[in-house]
Amino acid sequence: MNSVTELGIIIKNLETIITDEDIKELNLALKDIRQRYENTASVIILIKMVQTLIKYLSSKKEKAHADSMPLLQSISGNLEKIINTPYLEDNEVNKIISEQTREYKLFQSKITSNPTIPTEDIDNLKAVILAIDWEISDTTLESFDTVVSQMISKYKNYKIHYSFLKIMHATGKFIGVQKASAPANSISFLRSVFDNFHDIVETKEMPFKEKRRLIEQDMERFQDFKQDISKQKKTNAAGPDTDPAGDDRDEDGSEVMPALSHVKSSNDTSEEEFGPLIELDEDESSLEAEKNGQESLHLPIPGNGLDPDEQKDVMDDLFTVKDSPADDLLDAIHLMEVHGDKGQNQAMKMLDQADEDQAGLKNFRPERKDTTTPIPEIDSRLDAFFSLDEPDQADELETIEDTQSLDDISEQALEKTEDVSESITPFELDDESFEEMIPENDAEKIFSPDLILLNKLKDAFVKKEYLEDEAVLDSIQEDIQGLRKMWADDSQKQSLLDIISISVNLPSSVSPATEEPNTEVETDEFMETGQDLPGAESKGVLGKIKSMFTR
Amino acid sequence: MALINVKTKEVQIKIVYYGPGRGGKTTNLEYINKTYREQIKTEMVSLKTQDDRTLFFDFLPFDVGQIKGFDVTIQLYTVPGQVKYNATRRLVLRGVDGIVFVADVQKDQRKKNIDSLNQLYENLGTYNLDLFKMPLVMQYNKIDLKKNNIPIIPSKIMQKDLNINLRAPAFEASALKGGNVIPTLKRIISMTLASIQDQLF
Amino acid sequence: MLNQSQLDAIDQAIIENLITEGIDHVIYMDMAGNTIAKHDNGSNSLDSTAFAALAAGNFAAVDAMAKLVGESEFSLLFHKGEKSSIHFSKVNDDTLLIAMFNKDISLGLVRLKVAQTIEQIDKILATD
Repeated sequence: MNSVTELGIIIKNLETIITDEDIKELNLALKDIRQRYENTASVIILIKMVQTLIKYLSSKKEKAHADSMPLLQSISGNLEKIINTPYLEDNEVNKIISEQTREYKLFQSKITSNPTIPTEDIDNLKAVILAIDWEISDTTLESFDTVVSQMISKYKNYKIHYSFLKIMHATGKFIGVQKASAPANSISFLRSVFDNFHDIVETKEMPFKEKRRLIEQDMERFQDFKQDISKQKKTNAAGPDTDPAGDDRDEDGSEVMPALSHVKSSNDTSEEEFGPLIELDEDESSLEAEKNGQESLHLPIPGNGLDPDEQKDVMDDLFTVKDSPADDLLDAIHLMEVHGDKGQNQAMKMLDQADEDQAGLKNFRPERKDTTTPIPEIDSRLDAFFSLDEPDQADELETIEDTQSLDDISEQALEKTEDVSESITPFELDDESFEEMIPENDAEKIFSPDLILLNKLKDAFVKKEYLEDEAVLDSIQEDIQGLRKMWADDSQKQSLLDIISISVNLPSSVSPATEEPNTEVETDEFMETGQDLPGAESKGVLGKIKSMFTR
Repeated sequence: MALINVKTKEVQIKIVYYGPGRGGKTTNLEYINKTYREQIKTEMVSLKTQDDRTLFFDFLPFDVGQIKGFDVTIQLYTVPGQVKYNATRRLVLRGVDGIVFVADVQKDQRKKNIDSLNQLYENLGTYNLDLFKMPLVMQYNKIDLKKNNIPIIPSKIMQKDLNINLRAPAFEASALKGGNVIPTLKRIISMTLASIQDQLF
Repeated sequence: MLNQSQLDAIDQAIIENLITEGIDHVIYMDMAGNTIAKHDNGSNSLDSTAFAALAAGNFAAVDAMAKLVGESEFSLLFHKGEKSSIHFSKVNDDTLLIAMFNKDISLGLVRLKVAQTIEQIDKILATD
């Protein structure tokens, strides 16, 4: 019996898992055949195949591909044929060899197309691609490059995987170079290549044919992609399409229909039938007018016009305010923008949800019932809250009274009989206006030297010891001098310091109760400087206070 | 929609100042905020354009203290008045409990007042709210302009234009100077609370 | 204010960089909600007046929120929808550029193209 036949028998009798015994026997047989036919190329080729297969089988054992045994058998069958068949023509031999080679290669690609790629690798790749989806920057591009390059070197033996990765790498590199000029579909192309790659990794049973089809498809698309890039971009010459800023349109109507007449019409125009009309006394408003002139109201939270530093400072306070319905409203507006008109419903649904989430709360829709009289507690509470006369909240520092408008101070000066402590009130306002003008954060406020002096002065005025004690008065003057030096550059603060020192010199000689409010002085300053400047208002205020004490 | 937490005994009501552009809605809130800085401990949120027009809303929340054991919080809002911001106005109106309609008494604003009020009715309709059934106070603002010889609409005409069907309490006002700003506010709060007082107190 | 040649140049920049590159709508507007320029590729309609007003309010509100959390502003304001998404970009303290796009183009690319367009607009605005 010749070795070939022997080989054939051994192979036929191989069990699923090849044993060391088997390997020994096989190798012996192969060695023998090799020696005998060392000049026959075809035989050598087939022997090599068998040897490789044996190695594969022994290393993989039970994990060997299902096709390995059949292949082995087919090779040995062909080997036998070539050796044992006399007068086999060359082209016949070639045919067999090429057939076998093809089969062998097929098998090879089968076994090499199933590497176990850990999910970690796939996830990393997905992450860097998503990062590029959101932002094309040097950072994201670098991370992408790193991850893909790593994977390429790791899987370079697996042709199909390698090909996918190479396509992705090239696409990514290209996007990195082109940046904004990359065509619109660049990223979606990259993603689709990744998706196919992901499929072939995840689908274990995917037939080889399918995998090949996918990679070939993507290779073609990649070629198309490259071609698109090299095409010229056409420019559209569209005419300008500007929309002039919409203004409110005022229509002149000679005949004016009352509001809501389409809903309800009432022919009864007798005055008693209207709701009560509360008129505004001319006297009241004119008194206000004299004092305030065209006083503009300083906004606590300025809009776009003011210094960002100031905005920040004021916004810090807001930070401590708890979650408000205004936030829900803002979210609803976001939603509305995305969905246009449909968004109205979505926005409202969202807000409804926000309400529902507050379980255990009741919601009521107030209905106007003209017959309902509010309980007295409501009105008395409102009166108490909105009253400016009495000190509603008792504070530790008894001289800090409720915020009073400038008018009230001068009114009080006119109307009430005051002792000296009342005249101190304006200085509290001065302190506040200092804080408004210096936009510092709280930490700085605590430790700044000028504030230390100010607080010292404040204490001194509270205690009123300077009225009796000369020494205290001297120390006050010293502090004022100190502040003068610190605030040398600020004319407003200098004025305030003037006022303070003037009043300190006047405790016994002048009673402010007899002073009349001077409304003429320095109203021009803040009228001219316009509405937005915070300094403007305080200048006028300072002027008035100053004038009160210098007459 | 008035929010009442029976457990913590808290009530929140939302009052919206509504009206045509540049009528004085924001000015009302600014006056309230300025005058009651001590009592109103929270800051006012104001989202406006560079030329001081409300872009989005003004928001001023404050507590008025306790009424019959309930902590009462008032949330004041203004809407942007310009015609183009109607979509935003509608959103700000959501959950409104009481409305102050701030009308501009200047003669050339007459139609704007009416259009604004009509639109308010429509906007409330999207929430199934009926303006006729809501706590409402009318404010005829800027009457101080009479002194400056600017032609203004007499209150009688204002009433006819705006209030003939609604019959809500009305206040002449001068928001810039504060005239009748607080009485308006007190009235609307009072009305709004009164309409839910049965559930509360 | 912008003169006609500046407006034309801005239109050109928007069309070349954005509309022809796959973005559906672009609105160039001021912070008060007024539209200065608007362009689209005809794919869908948009009530641009309401949109611009809301966009301005949205941007202002988000800006206020940024300051509340200690940021001077947010660098990305983007709303993702199922089919359409919108991206906001501040051109300068007075104007915004809003880009509305669909799934065919990635946010990363939109951001790059918008940044490029803004660079050009800045140059156009500087020439006065």
